Amino acid sequence: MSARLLACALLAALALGLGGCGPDYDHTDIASVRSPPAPLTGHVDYARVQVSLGAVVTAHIVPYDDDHKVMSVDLRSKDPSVVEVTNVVSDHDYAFLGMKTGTTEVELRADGHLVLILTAVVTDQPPL
Amino acid sequence: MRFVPKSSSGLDIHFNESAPDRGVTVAPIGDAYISRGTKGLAAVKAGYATLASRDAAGTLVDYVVVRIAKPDALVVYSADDSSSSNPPPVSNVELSVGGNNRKSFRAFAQQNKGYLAGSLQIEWKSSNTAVAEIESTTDGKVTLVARSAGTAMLVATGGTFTQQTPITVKP
Repeated sequence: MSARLLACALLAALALGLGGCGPDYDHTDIASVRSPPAPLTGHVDYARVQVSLGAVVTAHIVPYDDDHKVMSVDLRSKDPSVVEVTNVVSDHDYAFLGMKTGTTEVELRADGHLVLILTAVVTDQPPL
Repeated sequence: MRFVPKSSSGLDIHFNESAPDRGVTVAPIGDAYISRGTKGLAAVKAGYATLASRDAAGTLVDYVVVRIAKPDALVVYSADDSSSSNPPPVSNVELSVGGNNRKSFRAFAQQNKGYLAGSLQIEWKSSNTAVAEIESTTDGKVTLVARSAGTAMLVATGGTFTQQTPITVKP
């Protein structure tokens, strides 16, 4: 009987170990988007970044795990000649720079894992 | 970061006193509207440009949006008048041989009668060098000197604009 109970306990422990117990990515907050002054435009959300040619849009971006702890974040543009992504001096603030008109993608990694891909578009300035 | 239009150099960028020591640099975002050369920033086309300052690690510190405007006039004003930060344009020049025989001028681009920051490459000449002659041209400032009594025209040419100002030299 005791051997049987021991075997069940070991089996349960093994199942828990194989399932993984660490926190996983939960979601990313994107807030405090600061657009350039009119007539230039800029926007950041969970699917898309848009910014006028030669302009900057900034956003506060924070990924969280399912324990609601802040994860490390890395943002990378697939084509920095179209959209460049750079850190801003304040924590978790990022700037998207419209270098030339076109479309690319920005990858967001949380603790090294790819969690979001944003379409990034640089549009012409409105005519003067 | 702030921009200070200055008559001597066209456009100055002022930073926190210690910023240059920390490797802060300024550059335009893209080169569609402003490009950066050895002599500083140059407007490429009308629109809006963003100048961004970054620290030594490349982190964005601050930025400012600048409107690039196409001038529609060139205006000449006295470079000797330091009593006002906004001296009126010069409509005529009076000199005399021997006495007050020397005056200095600058030219600025305007749009809709408003001054534009930045400097144009200005070419100066006198229509009659026997009456008045260009003595020197330094940092965009021209000095005119009287030679003999008579009349002439001070001609300032910048880009596609020309401004002519009558000169009268008294004996």
